[in-house]
Amino acid sequence: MSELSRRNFLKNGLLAGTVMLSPAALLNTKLSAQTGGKKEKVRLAVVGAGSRGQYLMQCVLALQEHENMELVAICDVYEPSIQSALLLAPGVKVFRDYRALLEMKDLDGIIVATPLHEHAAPTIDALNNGIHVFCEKAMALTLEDTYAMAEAHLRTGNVLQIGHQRLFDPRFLKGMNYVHSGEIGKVTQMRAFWHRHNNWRRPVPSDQPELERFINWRLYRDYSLGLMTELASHHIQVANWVKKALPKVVRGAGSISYWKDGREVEDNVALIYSYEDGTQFIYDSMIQNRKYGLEIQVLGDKGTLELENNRKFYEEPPVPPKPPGIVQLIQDLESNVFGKIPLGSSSWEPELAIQERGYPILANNPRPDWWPAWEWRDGSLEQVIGFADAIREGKAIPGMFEQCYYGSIWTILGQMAIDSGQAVTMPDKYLI
Amino acid sequence: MRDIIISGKRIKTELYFLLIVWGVANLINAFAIWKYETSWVEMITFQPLILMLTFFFYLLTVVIRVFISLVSFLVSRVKPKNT
Ligand SMILES: NC(=O)c1ccc[n+]([C@@H]2O[C@H](COP(=O)([O-])OP(=O)(O)OC[C@H]3O[C@@H](n4cnc5c(N)ncnc54)[C@H](O)[C@@H]3O)[C@@H](O)[C@H]2O)c1
Repeated sequence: MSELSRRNFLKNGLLAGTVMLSPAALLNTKLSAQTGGKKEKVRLAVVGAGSRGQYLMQCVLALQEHENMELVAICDVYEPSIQSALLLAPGVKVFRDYRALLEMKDLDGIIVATPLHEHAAPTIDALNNGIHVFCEKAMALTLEDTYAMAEAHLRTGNVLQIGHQRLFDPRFLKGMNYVHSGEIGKVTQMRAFWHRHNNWRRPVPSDQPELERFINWRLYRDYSLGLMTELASHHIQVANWVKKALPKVVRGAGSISYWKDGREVEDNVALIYSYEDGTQFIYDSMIQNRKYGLEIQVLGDKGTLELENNRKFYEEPPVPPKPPGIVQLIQDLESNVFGKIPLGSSSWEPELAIQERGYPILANNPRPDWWPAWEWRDGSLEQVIGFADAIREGKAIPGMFEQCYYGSIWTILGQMAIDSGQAVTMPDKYLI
Repeated sequence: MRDIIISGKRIKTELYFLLIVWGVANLINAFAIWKYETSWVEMITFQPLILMLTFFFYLLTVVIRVFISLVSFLVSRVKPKNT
């Protein structure tokens, strides 16, 4: 696509990061004033009723009454997944081929939670059949499939929402407000990491070893890009949201350094995404130490955000009001009498991290009474509400799809940088 | 039981002492306001604290005075009398 449309996107698309804030934030306000039953019913089906699919099924079921949606069918190719999904929703129709599901009458939208390499086909077929799609992140395994999904969405005008729940997480929305209003100053560096301590394997039935690649699809390059598509994609999307821009180039390195068990995807990756204005986004992920967990740190010249941890910090912390003179005098006398007398001061001090507890980005996050307790409060439930609302309105929240699309594209480009050891830029043909 | 009689003169002296230490406490407050560049309103708003300081200083003068009279009493006992 032309340079003009690239600029248009940068201006209208990612800038819609700010526009985007309002619908999702509105959603929250609407939730607190929820009366239920007023909205037009939305009929949904889940394709890929595995671990995430069942979580999203639970979301739909929890929202059935209050947000007037209905889970009408599930589709999966693996019997144990179907059976455990049926325990959650005993009455739903079961399909074993998504194409048969798409023939179903009165189906408004599908939720695609299949393994990564199986995202593109059901998504594109559904969009072409006039059915709206919520597809889990990352969008697809290849740049071509990702682009084809975008093309189907743009051509048909049907909703394609991607499962980046942070776009709906009230803490992230508030955090973006701080960033975009300039409260933390000029952001020139972002750092993110996602660390775990497990082999990322799922048990395979001992009598069916041939299911190894089907069940542990995350570990094989035919189906997944491992840490990049499964974890990094989330923070790459957030980094672009912070910058309201796309990276210019990505460099990376990766290795299988610990879990040498026949897997094909790295267990240890480190990348740097560089932006046009000189900002660097430094990302790393590993699964042999979980001390630091996950975080995305946004570093501005006036402050820092730790979005996952819901904390903000100031470079110059706000000065508390001065105590009255007499109190200060007494305190000074006290510390002169009882305080330690330094014998000398060091001319050099190590620049250790500033030990400050900071302030919450979002002090409280009220939810309606009916909100399920099991929900992680990470925006997952809100994104399902957002999807149903988008179906009713016949269009998605402006700018959101572009955010997710470029998040997926730059995730795959990151993997290409790791594979090639080269600096990788985005070919213009992937601009939308 | 013996009545303790406090003379008018004693009351007057004690009131003088109180007045002086209250003045000293206010001077200290003024010094602190000047030194730490806080508001002069504290001269009024911090009177409760100043009164507490006054009381503390007054007790200090009582202790010192009792100590002095105790010492002078002992000294007068030890001194040989001129007969
Ligand atoms: N947004 C998030 O935070 C989040 C969290 C976890 C997983 N996910 C995403 O959800 C997706 C699924 O992950 P998961 O952990 O649930 O995987 P999973 O292996 O537990 O589930 C995948 C399910 O899809 C089924 N399936 C495979 N091929 C199919 C086909 N052609 N048609 C229908 N069903 C098919 C499998 O039988 C399985 O039941 C992945 O894309 C993953 O990245 C997102």
